Amino acid sequence: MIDHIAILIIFIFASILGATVVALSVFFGPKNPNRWKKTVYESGSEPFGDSRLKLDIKFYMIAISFIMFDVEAVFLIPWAVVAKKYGLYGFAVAFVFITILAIGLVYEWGRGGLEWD
Amino acid sequence: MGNPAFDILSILPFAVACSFGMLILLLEVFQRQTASRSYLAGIAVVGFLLTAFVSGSFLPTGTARATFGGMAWIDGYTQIFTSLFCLAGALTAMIAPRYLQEHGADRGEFYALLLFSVAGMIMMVAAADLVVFFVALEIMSIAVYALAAYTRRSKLSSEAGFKYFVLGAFASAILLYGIALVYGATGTTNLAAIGQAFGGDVARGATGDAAAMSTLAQNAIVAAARGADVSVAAVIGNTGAGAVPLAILGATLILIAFSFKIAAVPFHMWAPDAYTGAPTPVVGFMAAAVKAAGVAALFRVVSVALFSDSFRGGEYGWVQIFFALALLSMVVGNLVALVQGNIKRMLAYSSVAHAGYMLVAFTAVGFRGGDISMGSGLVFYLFAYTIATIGAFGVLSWLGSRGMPCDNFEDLDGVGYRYPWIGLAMSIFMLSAAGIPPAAGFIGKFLVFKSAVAASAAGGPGSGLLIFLVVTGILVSVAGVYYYLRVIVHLYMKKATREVPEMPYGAARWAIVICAVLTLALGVLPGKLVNSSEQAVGQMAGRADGVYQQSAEAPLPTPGGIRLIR
Repeated sequence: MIDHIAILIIFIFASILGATVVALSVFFGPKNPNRWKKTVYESGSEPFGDSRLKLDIKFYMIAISFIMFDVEAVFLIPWAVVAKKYGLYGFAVAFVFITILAIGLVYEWGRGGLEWD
Repeated sequence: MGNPAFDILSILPFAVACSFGMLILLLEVFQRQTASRSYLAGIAVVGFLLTAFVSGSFLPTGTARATFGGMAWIDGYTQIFTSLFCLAGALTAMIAPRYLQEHGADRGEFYALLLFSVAGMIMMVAAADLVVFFVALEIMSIAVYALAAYTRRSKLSSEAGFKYFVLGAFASAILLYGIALVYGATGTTNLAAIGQAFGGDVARGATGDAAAMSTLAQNAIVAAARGADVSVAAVIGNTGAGAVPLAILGATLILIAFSFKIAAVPFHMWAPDAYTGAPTPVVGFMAAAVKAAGVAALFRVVSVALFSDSFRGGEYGWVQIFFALALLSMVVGNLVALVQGNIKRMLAYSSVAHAGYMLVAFTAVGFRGGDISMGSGLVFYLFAYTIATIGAFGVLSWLGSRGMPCDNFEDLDGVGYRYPWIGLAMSIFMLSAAGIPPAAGFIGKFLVFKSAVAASAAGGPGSGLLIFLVVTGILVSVAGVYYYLRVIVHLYMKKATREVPEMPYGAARWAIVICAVLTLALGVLPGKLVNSSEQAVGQMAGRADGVYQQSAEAPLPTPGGIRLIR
């Protein structure tokens, strides 16, 4: 525990420093608010509408496809690192894994999951 | 790494089921939308039969082996339940096509999902590690959520699917939390190693094959050494003070998650709505196979990981939990089923009551005088229950048509005369569910109650409570006869109020006939299945039998019995 005491000190020091600077500007800084200064900062574009809008189901399909390839990468990259060590057995297992994913992709394609319209 | 050849052989049933599922998906995609999909049901049935065949023939029978480095067990217990799940899946696939055509949902995904969920069930019963178990549970559950919402244009079906999904997701989260806490207390997720850590002595395996058992014990020890810091295991072995509350909390959360899955009171709230809204063939599958998978896996977890003396009936035993769950499920399930006007809802509450009867067997096994062999009645009960339930829902889905579902008791009026064979089959299923000989349900109930009485006769504190449980069970099942016979009254003693349409499709009829014949056959000639059940439970890998005998020499951890309830 005692090894990390320096980090705690930095945390405390940073908090005090940050709080002090903000407090100084709140108490002593000049204030002339107008309408534009009070709006929410949205990178310069005007904020409008509700953020809870209905999203097209197509985005969901894209997310699903993304997860499929994501999981593929998560499993294949560690296998690729040790591919030589596991030899033919490892290759066969990886091949079966890719085949299953490919069938999923073919299914999605055939069902029209990859078409935008 | 273990033996790669055996590893691949051991997951062959799982692989066959998954392959047929994927095959059906591909066939479904490369076909005109308008073409009939009924032939896919035939492929699914072939897939199920092949899965059962592979499990029974290609794997060594009579021995128990760990596979994939101690991640799953291939033993008689896995095999007998594989055949049960395949039977349930095949019967559902035979019942479904006509119903799906009738409701405009004739798509091949149904059969693929059925196969995937059965694959998950197989892995769930085989699991020797809580993580594998969790993954298998999700494979099964996600497929069944989709099945429950399968007729997606029907509001009721969507509601059923959504309710089932939300409650199921909660149960999964609770299960994961329980697994995490147990891992925190013992340092391992391997069931046998958890059993050792909880019990504080080496897991003694089945009485069967000594060589197989020694490899199993080795596997367990290796897993414990690999997964767990040995010193941690040793500390917990003495039921070290700090870890015990953690372990109890974790085990309790796991039991709660299971109670959700098998719909035991007070965790049954989702069942009536989900069963009423979901497509009728799916309800049969959910009520029978999913519940059977939950009960079978729970029995494995209980008898491997949680069977030490201190954990089953001591100061903080789960036997109290099972006692309460069994009592509440039997009483609430039966009494609420009495007043239902909707047959699917009535059968939902009846399935809650059946969960209660099954939990009586758990209570008997966990009792101080009980042992794991007493669970063999449970296996038989699950077979009898599964077949009769799928048959009963099969009759309902066969009789219903689009816009004219067969949901209420009145819809059955006079069907016994219009369709004599279907009426007879439905009567057999109801008699089996009520536990009246010569149907199979009678033998199942008899075996379960017998195990409780035997455990009580072995003595120990609180044995009177076990008798109390049995007497309550018998009384409420007599009350249950009322609503089962009500179905038969409507079949035969009421005038038909509506025209039941002509039924064109034949496979569903065959499935119903198979269910009826099997129900009668198991009721009249139960011997073979009773023997196989006993063998299966006897060969269950890693079961922590003999802990009781062992600690009889040393003083027991606590004077035990059912302390909380007493």
